[in-house]
Amino acid sequence: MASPCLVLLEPAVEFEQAQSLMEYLAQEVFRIQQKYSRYQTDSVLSQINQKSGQNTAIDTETYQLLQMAQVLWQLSKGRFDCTSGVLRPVWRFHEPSTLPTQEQIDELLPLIGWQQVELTHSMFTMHKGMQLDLGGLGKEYAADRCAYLARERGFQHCLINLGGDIATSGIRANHEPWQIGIENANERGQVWQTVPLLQGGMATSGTSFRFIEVAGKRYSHILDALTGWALTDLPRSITVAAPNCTEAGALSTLAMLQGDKADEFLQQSTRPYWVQW
Amino acid sequence: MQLSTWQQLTLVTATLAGVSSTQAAEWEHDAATLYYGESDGRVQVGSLKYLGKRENDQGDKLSINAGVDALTGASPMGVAPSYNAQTLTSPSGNTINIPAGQLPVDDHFKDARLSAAVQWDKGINEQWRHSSGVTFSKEHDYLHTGVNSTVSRSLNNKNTTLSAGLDLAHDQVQAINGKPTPLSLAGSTRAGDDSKRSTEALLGLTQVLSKRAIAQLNYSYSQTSGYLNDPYKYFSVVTPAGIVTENRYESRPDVRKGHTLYGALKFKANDKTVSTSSLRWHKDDWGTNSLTAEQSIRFDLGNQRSIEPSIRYYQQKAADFYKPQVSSIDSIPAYISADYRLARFKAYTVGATYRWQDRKEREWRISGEYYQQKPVNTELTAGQAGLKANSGFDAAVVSLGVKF
Repeated sequence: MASPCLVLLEPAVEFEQAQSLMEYLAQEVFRIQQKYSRYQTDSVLSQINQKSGQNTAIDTETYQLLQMAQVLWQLSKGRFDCTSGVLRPVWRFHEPSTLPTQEQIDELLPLIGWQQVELTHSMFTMHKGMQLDLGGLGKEYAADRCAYLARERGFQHCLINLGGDIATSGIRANHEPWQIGIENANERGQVWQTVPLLQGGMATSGTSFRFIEVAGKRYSHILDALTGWALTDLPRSITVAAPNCTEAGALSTLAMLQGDKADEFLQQSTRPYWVQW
Repeated sequence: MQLSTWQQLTLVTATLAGVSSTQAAEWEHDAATLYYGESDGRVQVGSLKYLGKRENDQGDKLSINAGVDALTGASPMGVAPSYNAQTLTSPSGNTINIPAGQLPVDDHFKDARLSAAVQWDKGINEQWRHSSGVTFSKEHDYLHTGVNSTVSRSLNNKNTTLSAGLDLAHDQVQAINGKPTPLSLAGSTRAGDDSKRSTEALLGLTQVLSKRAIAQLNYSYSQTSGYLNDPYKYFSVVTPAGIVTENRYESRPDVRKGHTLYGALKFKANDKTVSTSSLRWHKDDWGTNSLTAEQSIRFDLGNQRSIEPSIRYYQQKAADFYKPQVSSIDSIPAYISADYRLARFKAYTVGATYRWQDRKEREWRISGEYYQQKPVNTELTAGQAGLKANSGFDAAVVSLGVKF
C-alpha cells in the first residue's frame, strides 16, 4: 500500500491481543490489495483485464466494488470512471513535465466509458482493450473492512488509518470523539486543523503533491474521464467525514471533480467537510 | 428500489463497509391495478396486486405477493343455443331466461378472490441456490393451497444454471349449493365439497450465450387428480331438429397428465433495444395440446422511459371429450364437456407497456392489451343452422403499476 498505516486501540489491551488483531487486519489489507492489484497478473482485477471482451464471472465482493464504481460514474456524470486507467501511460506526473498531445488522448478515449461495461450480480463484461482500475476505491474499502473485522472481534473502540483513509469500529472508550489532524495541503507533515470524528470514517482527496506544472498552469493528477484531460484549478485538499470511509472517499473524490463548485456539492451531501484551497 | 443519488451512494458504501444499513433493509414495493374485460358483457375482472421484495447483502430474497380480484359478468354455461327460448336454473338458484337464438350464459356470476404468496430464495454457497414458497388463494367457492421448492446450480463461470423444482397444490372445490353428480340432469341434488391435488416437476436450463443473449429452456411434467369438473357447467342433449331436450352436468376424467416445454431467448440488439421471444408447447392426455408464441421488444427512449410492444399467438386443440352438445340419438359418453375453454381455438394478443420515472424516481408503467379468441366451430344440427355453440370473444386488459 506504500503508505503509513496505523491502528489505535482503546482501552488498553494486552500486547498479544493487539498484535494478533494487527496481524489479522494486515492480512485483510493484503488480501484486498492482492485481489485488486493491477501489478499482480494473477489478481482478480488482472484476470478481468486480461479477459476484456469476454464475460468474466465475479464474486459478491467484486460485484459490490464494481457497483460502487458504477454509482460513482453515475453521480459524476461520467467524469469519474474506473476504466480511465488507460490514460496513465500518457499522463506522467513526474519530471520531465510534459503534457500529452490531443492525438494521444483521442486514441485512448474510445477505451474509456462505463456505459460500455455490463455488470450483473455474477458477471462483468467490458469491450476488448478496456482496462479496469479500482485503485481509487481500494484503500477506503480496506479501511472499512478492517473496522468491520475489528468490531466483529469485539474491539468496539478502534481506529484504523490507512495512509489518511480513516475508519473506526465505534466511538472512543471515553465516549469522546476521536481527534483527527488534517494535513496542511501546502506544508507536508504539518497539521492544518484538528477535527473531531465521533465514529464512522473520514477520507481526504488531495492535489498538492501529485501534479505537473506546464507553462505556469497546474495540472492535478485527477483526470476527467470524459475529456481525458487533467483538471486544473482544483482545491488543494478536501476532507469528508461520513458513516464509513468508502462514502467519505467517494464524496471527496466527487467534490474534487466539481472544481470551484466543490463547496456547493458538499453542502448538498449533508456530510461534514473541510476544504483547503 | 428507487433511491435518490445520495441514498444510492450511502447504500452502496454501507454494503461495502459491511455495515448493516437501514437502507439495505428497506423493502422494494410494487403495486398495480388491473382491469380485464371481455366483450358482450362477459367476464370482467378488477384487480389490485402488491409485490414486496427484500434482499439482504448476501443476495437472499424474500418476496411477498398479495392480491384482490373482483370478478363479475356473464359466463357461458355449456348449454347449447337453440331457436327456442330456454329457461334454466343456475346452480345458485337464479332463474335464467335465454331468448331464442342466443348463447346461454349465466349472468349472475360474481366472485371475489384473495390471494397471497411468500417466496424465500437463498444462496447455499457460490454454486447452489434454493428457493421455497407457499401459495394461497380463496374465492367464495374455492380454496387453493400450495407449496413449492426449487434448487439450482450454476456452472461454467455462472454462464449456465440448472434447476429442478417441485410444486404441490391441494385445492378445495366448495361449489355453491354443493357439487353436482357428473352426467346428472340439471336441477338434480347437489351436495358436498371435493378436492383436487396437483404435482408439477420442473427441470430448467438457463444459458448465457454471449454478452447479448441469454436462453432459457424448461420442461415440466404435471399431474392433477381429483375433482376436475367445473361444477357450474352443463352440456345439452339435442334432437336432430335442434330442440334441447335436456341439460346435464359435465363429466371430466379425474386425472390429467401433461408435459410442457418452454423456451425463451432474450437478446440485447443494442444499448437501447432488448428483444424477448418465447415458445411454449404443451401436450396432455386430455388432448388439449397447445402452442404459445410470444415476442416483445423493449425500446429505451432515454430519460428512464421505455416502450415495449408485444404480440402473442396461442392455439389449442379440443379436449378428446369436448363436444358442443350430444345428439339425442346417441348414447351419452362417460366423459363429456361443452366448456368453451376445452374447445379448439386460436387466440391473438397485441399489447404495449410504457414505463417512465417520476420526479421521486419511482418507476411507473401502464400497459394495454387486446385479446381475441377465435374458436373453430363445428356444425350443430340442421335445426340450429346459423347458431354457434362457441362464439369467441374479444377482451381488453389495462393495467397501471408503480415500483417504489
